[in-house]
Amino acid sequence: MYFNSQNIFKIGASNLLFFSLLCLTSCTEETEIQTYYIPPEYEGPVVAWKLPPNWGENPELSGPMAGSFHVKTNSGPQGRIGVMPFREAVSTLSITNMFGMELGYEKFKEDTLSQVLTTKKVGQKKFEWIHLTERDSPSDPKTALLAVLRQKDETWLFPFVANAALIDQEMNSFISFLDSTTVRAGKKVIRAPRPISAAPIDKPTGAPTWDAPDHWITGKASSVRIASYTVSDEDGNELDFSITSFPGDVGGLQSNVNRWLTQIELPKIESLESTPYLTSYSIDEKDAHLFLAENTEKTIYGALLFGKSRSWFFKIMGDTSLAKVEKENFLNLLTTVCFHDH
Amino acid sequence: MNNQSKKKKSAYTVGARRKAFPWMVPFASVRLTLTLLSLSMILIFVATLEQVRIGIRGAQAEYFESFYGIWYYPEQFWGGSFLSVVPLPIPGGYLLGGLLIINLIAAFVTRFQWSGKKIGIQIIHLGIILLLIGQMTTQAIQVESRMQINKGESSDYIERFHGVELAFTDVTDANRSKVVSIPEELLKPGSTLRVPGFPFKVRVKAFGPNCSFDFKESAAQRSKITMDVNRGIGASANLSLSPREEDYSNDAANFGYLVFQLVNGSEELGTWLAVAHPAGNDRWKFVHTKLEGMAFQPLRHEGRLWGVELRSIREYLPYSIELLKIENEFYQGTDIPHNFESHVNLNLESGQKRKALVYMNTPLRHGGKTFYQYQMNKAADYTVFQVIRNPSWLVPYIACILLSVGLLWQFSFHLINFLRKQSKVSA
Amino acid sequence: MKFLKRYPLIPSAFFAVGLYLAILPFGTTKASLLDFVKPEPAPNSEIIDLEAFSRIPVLRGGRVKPLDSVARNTLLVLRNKRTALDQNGTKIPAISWLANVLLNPEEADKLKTFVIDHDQVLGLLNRKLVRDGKYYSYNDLKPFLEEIDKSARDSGKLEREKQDSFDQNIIDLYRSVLLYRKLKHTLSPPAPPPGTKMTEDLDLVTFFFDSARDKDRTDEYSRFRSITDAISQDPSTIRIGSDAFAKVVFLLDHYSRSNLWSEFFPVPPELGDRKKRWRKVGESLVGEEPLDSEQKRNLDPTQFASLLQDLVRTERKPLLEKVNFILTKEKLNPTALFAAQYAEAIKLRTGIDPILSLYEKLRQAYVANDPTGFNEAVSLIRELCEKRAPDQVTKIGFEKTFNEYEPFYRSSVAYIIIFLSSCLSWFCLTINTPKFNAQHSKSFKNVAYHLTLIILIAHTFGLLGRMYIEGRPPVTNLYSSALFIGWGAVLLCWFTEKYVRLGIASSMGAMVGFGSLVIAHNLSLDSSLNPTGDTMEMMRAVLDSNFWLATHVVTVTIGYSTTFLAGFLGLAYIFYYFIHQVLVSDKSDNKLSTLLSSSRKQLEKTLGSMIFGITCFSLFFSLVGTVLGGIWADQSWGRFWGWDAKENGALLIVIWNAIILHARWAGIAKIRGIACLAIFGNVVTAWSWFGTNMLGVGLHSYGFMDKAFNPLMSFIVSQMVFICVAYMVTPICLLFRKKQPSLK
Repeated sequence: MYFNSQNIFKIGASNLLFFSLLCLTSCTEETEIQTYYIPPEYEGPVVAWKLPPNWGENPELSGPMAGSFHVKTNSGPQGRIGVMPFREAVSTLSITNMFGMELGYEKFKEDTLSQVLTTKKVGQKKFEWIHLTERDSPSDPKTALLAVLRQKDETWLFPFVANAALIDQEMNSFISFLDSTTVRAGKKVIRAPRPISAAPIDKPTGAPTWDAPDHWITGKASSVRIASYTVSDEDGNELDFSITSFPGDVGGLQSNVNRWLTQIELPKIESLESTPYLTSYSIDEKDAHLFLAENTEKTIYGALLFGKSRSWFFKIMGDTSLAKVEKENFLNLLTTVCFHDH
Repeated sequence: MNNQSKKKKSAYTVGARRKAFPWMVPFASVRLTLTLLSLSMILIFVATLEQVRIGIRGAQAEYFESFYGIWYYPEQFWGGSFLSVVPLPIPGGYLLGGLLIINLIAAFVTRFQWSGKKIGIQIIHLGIILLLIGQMTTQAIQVESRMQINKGESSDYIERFHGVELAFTDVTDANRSKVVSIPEELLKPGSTLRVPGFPFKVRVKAFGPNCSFDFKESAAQRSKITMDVNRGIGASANLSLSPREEDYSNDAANFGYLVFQLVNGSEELGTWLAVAHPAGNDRWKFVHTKLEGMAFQPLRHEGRLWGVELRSIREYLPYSIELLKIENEFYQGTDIPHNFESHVNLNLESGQKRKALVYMNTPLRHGGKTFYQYQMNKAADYTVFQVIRNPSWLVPYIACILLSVGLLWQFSFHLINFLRKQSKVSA
Repeated sequence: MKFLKRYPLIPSAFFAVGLYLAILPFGTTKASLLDFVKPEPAPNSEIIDLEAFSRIPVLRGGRVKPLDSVARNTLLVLRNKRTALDQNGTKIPAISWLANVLLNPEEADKLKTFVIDHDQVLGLLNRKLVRDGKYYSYNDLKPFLEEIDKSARDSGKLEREKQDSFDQNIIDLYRSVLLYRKLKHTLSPPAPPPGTKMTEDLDLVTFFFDSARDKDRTDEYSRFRSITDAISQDPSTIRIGSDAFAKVVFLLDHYSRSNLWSEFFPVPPELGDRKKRWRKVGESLVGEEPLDSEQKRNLDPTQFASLLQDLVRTERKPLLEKVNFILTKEKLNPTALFAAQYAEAIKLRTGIDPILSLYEKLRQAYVANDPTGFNEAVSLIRELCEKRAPDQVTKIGFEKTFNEYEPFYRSSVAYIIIFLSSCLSWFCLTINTPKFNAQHSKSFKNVAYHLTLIILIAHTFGLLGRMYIEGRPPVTNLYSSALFIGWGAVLLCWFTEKYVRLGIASSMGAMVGFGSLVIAHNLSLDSSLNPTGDTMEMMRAVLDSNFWLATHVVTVTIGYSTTFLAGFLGLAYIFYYFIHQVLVSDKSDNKLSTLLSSSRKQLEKTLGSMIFGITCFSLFFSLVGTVLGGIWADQSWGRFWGWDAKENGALLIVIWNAIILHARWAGIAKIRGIACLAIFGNVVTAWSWFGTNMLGVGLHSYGFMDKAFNPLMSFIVSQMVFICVAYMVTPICLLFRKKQPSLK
């Protein structure tokens, strides 16, 4: 075949046609499943495990709980196993107290802690092992088995709350479960969660329930102090929140207001008319008074509810800078207060 | 010797060429050109009208990127109620474009004369052929995507403007994550997909390009599509969903949705709902706190944590772009933007960092892709680049050079002739 | 005698009139070409002279312009005219209307400012078009304001496609009323209505300006400053529950809200402001609001009060830094942003801008009819503006004279004269009287030819003036494209007429010129295309490139204008052909028919080559322009061709011109065919220029409700009628003639 003008034309033209047809037909998009690797982008905590065959998963997860399971038994789902990420600053003591109070223990201190704390090595991981059994219960007491894993920058809590018999039965499964877990904290700071149960024991009659924020740490309750929480931050500021209740009206609105004002070194008020600190408020559809007073160092936000025969005081007091930040949480808590009487 | 050179010359004349390629002659007729051009005008006009109904992209796909399209006279027009029932076939872009190219080549071969007078015309037509071919190639292989970067952050992927994919990401390893993505063309309701690299099969229950959704108190109040959803955000937020028509306008915000089941042999891991936010799944937290999890619905299996999301089709790049600062100014007292600028760092895999400034009419070119400043939001929190991959971008420029040369040649030729005539007349 | 023979009377009269129109003032057009070179006249000291007042610079719509422009532009929106009417309906210049609105609002309310010509809207006001006319004053509308508001809101809720002419008109009226009220309050922030509980509670009833008690508004501003100074001295009063604090908050809110009621920015940039921001009256007192007012609902009151107290305690220099820090870093925090604004207003903004007192003096002088005081105030204001914004006020004088010169209005009237002249030149060919004969024909043609050049100069001056004021190439928006199309067509016509003296080019050029200027004027009245009335608005960042605007946009617009010219030449031919077919038959022998039949061949040949030549031009420019547009798009967003509606329109013109040329080359179409093809080119160009703008892409809207829809459709139908006539006239005439044999 020799190249002359005619052939060049022929070849050129046919090539051009062929090329354009090829282009048209080959313009299909990628319509297939693709698999590829990328540098890690996910910023949340990574935690995964292998569930023992007779455990089931509770799909409803509340708050920062990463997982919640139960043991499948003949009488239905029993027991509660959880996976909870924690801020590293949370001490074993606080964790123990969270569960201890529920089971009837006195508040633990460093020395009494050692009675219930051991360590256990599972595979490559070392766990702090806390075994709490319900006081004052002869047979099959409720038991809380807390495994705490501390890694650099993160703390993971694996509580197993069930009757003692079930715990004994499932001990091996629990250990193999712990062995299979992969945990890695996320880039976001996590706040410590509240304990599994919310209502404390020993309350006066007619007491309300409420929802406290996750990072308020429960303190000791008494017959007068129905609820007690502390809140603190990195700078050392602290707040104390309490719900107190007394029979009668303990002196009335003005004297209580003045009592609080004195506590933060503000001058007392002469009359309840046009005072800047008080506004009308309602808690659970009952008439109450909202008290907001800020001084340079200390602040008190409070709500005073005078019932038929009892008075209820919701008060948060502490360093002003932290108080301003927590104010919204305080107001939110007030909206969740419910007396369950209507 | 003389005879031979004469013969050689004659091989190039029009007559000789016509004899050599007799089958090309009918393809070169001017009547054919006129018919094709008139049909093109009808095509362009109809496609422009159709943009009102299905948007620019829809009209382009239907009429220009096909061999033919069917047009119905719009009902809103005068006489539309009875004229709109007749389907009219309209020749499409590829058909007319292809025939025009053939017509032009045939004319080149059998009709065009290569004399000084006419060479301008040949060059013009050559430029036009190149323009046509270039445009057809571009349509076939150009890919347009967008990249959105929040201020102070960086991004290493680009997303398509249209089309969603279902993505499963295994984030268990600290060093790298594995992504398995299923493009929307495979997500047909009723089908079950085997997904290599992922432990479950995906059974598609419902899929659509746009929806509106609402929070309900309980599962019983949900709409039929989302009634069975029992895992993930669709369940915990009790979302009720109703499908909507795809919005074709330029500012469209389409929320694509997918309801699917995960099965593994007999084990069933629940029914899930995934919805794609048109501006990126990280914007869900601004819609509602309950929906923040749509960006990553967790799924655990055999000690590995996977996240599920429905998102715009993504392509990861081997480099990333970090947004340092953005500026946008408006003319005082108006809404009219004066200037858009993005200051970025291009972070290459080699670790090298390059600074760049991207603003109107000044793109960033790297790795076969070009990044144009496309949008910015008014509070200057994020910038959006339009990213184009178009290997055939040079073709229109070459075609334009040819066109200008040809036009100038022809024009000056005629002008000089005309002036010569005038001077002869006045002389 | 020889002189008269050389320059016959009537054509010379035409020429003189045309020349006059180009250069000298007439009617309401007050300036002449000479005013551009004359220095500014000294102000009259006998009566209030608004000449210098009209040159006061203010900022509106993103650029600094004279008050004269503000007057004309706002009147264009309110009344669809650039002049105003007083309460009796007599015409007054725009600037005196504006002086009343700004300085003496009570009088202004009586002037007939608004145009309402829709029957149903008038019905809302209990008026009838035939009985009460279409111009109304604000006082006429006052009793019905609430109804107008409600109606407009209801209409506004409908989708665009579903709005009918009543809806559009009532919405326009609502917007006009709003614009008028904003103008009134620009220099006089509105006081809260009397009897407002807040003012009584806070003891502010005597705070606001009272003309009986106070000298001028600066007294009110001084009282405001003393309140803020007091707070500045004693920041502990900034807390919830303090009276002083509540007062200050109320007043700050009040002045911030008054910013919304200001139509332009009268206060020039403060010395030392790097960003050179002009301010409204409220802004100069309390600064700009950082967020929308309704964001104040998201404030945390206690945090706000304590943050504000902190800020006010800080010294000035660190406070400035703190305020800047908040404005840049806390963009989403309404508490911090508003606290920063308030702190700035209380502590950083001291004193009252001298401009405010000067404007008050101006107002008093105007109301008291004191020319000396008025002139003094005006010159002080202008001096101050020049000192504070020297590089922004250089073009003010030119713009003001340019406004008065009204080059496009003049040109459009003059084009009519040119058209008449050409028509008369043809008329003269057909009759033979002492006043009008063949020689006169030549004179009329020459008059048309020369006048075209002169009017072209006026038209060009108009375009160049706009270019100078805006600092941009000639075509930046739809309005300027219409001006340019006319200009291009007329220019090309003049060249054509130079070589082919038939008068056809002159007449068609004049027609296109006049038509395009009328279209331009109507575009400037469209409230959606021209909401502020200023046709020289700023360009969006995407389109903001002088290079591409000068090359692509200008080339494509030339393409449009040459296609129109070819189309109008086609119309001229068909018109000739129609007359020829109707009047000429074997039997006719009057002068006209002889003329028509003898010139036919020559005319066809000439017109044919003219249309062909101009179409070549068209193809060149539209092809180059379209390609340049593609390159611009490729540089801007990486896509050479996007099948956008406007791009498609331009492509259609290119293809149609190519079809015309190929049809002629192939010999498929002769003169009648080419003329009809060229006429269809008009349809294609009109579609590309206007039709594509009306489509709502992706919005299911074909633009039926657009104001330009009916005129566009009528134009297209008229062109199609011409094409039909071209092909139907011969068979119909033949039919007619067969039925009626000639009586001769």
